Amino acid sequence: MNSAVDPKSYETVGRCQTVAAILWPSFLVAGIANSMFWVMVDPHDFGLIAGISELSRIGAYSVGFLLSWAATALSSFVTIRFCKPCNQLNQKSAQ
Amino acid sequence: MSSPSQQQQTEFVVEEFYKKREKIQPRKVKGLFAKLRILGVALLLGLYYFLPWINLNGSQAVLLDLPARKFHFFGITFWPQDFFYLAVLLIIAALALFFFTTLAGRLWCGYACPQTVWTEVFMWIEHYVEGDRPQRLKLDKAPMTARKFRIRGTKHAIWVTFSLWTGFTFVGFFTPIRELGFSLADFSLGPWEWFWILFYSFATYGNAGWMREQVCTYMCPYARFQSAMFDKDTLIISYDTERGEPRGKRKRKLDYKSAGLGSCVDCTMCVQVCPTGIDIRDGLQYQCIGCAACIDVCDDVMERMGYEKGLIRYTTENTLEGKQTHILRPRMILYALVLTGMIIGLGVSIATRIPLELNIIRDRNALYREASNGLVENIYTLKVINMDEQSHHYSLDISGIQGLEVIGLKDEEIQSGEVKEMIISIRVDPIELKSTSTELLFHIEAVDNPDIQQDQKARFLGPLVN
Repeated sequence: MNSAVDPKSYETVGRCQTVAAILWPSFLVAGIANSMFWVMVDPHDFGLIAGISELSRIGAYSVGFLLSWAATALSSFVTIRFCKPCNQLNQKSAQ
Repeated sequence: MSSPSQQQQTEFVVEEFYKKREKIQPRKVKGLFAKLRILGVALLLGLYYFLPWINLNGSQAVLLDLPARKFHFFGITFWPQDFFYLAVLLIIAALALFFFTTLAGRLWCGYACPQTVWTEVFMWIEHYVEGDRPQRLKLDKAPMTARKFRIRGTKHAIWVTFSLWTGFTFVGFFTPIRELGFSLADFSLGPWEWFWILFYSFATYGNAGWMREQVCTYMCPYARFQSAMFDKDTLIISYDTERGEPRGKRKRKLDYKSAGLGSCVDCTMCVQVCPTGIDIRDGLQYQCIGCAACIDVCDDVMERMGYEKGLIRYTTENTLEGKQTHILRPRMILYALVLTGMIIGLGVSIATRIPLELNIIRDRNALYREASNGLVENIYTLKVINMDEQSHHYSLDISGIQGLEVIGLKDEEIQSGEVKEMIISIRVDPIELKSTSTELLFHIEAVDNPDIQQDQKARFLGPLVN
């Protein structure tokens, strides 16, 4: 390119697609994992073991889901980071 | 230094990824496939919005009661223990998707996907408030005035209201919807209910109002692997290049064939109606969701021109190549057989399902205990779940060791939907033990209905004396 290198050119996909690629698959997997977990474990029993007596079931499902989503999103985020070719990282630092 | 061709490639890539997304303003379309889609929308959204309001014997007919861990579906109550049925149902859904994709491409995307269905409603609202494509394009370009603000405001207000109703209905599948309505009205709604209503509303508003075709292009897993299910006999929406090219504008009366033109009048209507903004004349593309809007609009144009319909149509690769199309092919037959088999299997399995569950947990604190009279004792916690609609008395029969004694067993009526926990101890003369670990068979049966029975195994631990 003759003109100045696009400062974003080291990225491989657009921002919207990156955000979707992090948040969306992790949402789906967290949903499945969370359902599977609560199918096997009754939040009521879980509350007894964990020593949280005021754990409502809806609360447990919801917090469980949000925590799993956070974990899977973190994994997707790291994957996206690792997907960047190394030479593009060099390009970035060269600027 | 990179070679010129490499440079070109980089330039292309950058342009491809960083061209700002242009808002797509599809033109409204009338025709056979548009009618089918309206039917799909009415049916699916009708089910979605009204199902939670249907009552059966005084309680909500479809209620996935998460707080109580019971899932009511038209008189049948499922439990977390019935997870197997859900797994089978999901496999059936996946197989059905394979079947229909192989048959006629992305039928799911075009007529039944929630993304399509809700986007369709959002576009109706948009069309109603802002007008058709030309008016909307004009409005997009216009500077913000009081009039534009009013129009945009109205659209978003209707969108948000509709989304909130959608979010409310969603939570209504999990919490009794009437109670939910009352608690909403007197502001006594719990924080999690609020959270999920707003979450789902926001998702609807964002996906159907703003994201639209980007969801299909960037977020849909199915779109990524649908091509693997296509073959040369799959019905796909195609532009008949042979017939259409060379395209060009012309007068209606012109004998276009002698003028060296094809049937395509290059009116670009197929591009204007496309909700994903592609030109079907460029061939089958990943972005095409199979909505067939281009077929409807092109047929209309062909009719007005006095040409034969079907320049864009559902057809197969084989037909386009002049070969024969086989709808009934091994792949289709196999999918159909497996699908039918699984549906029948699931139906039979649900129909003959035994609404009783017995869980046995051996006391983990001690291997065994010696009772005062020289007998060896093991403790068990029994969990009996009555999944039937009526209450029952049950009889429990334990076998496996000669002369075993059961202590602590009570004959109690267990209500419908009740989980009864019982702690029992089993005492055995150690002489009867052939091994340090012996299998016991627990047989439980409803007293009034011998068909309701379950067998479970557990182990008895004890010392070896001989």
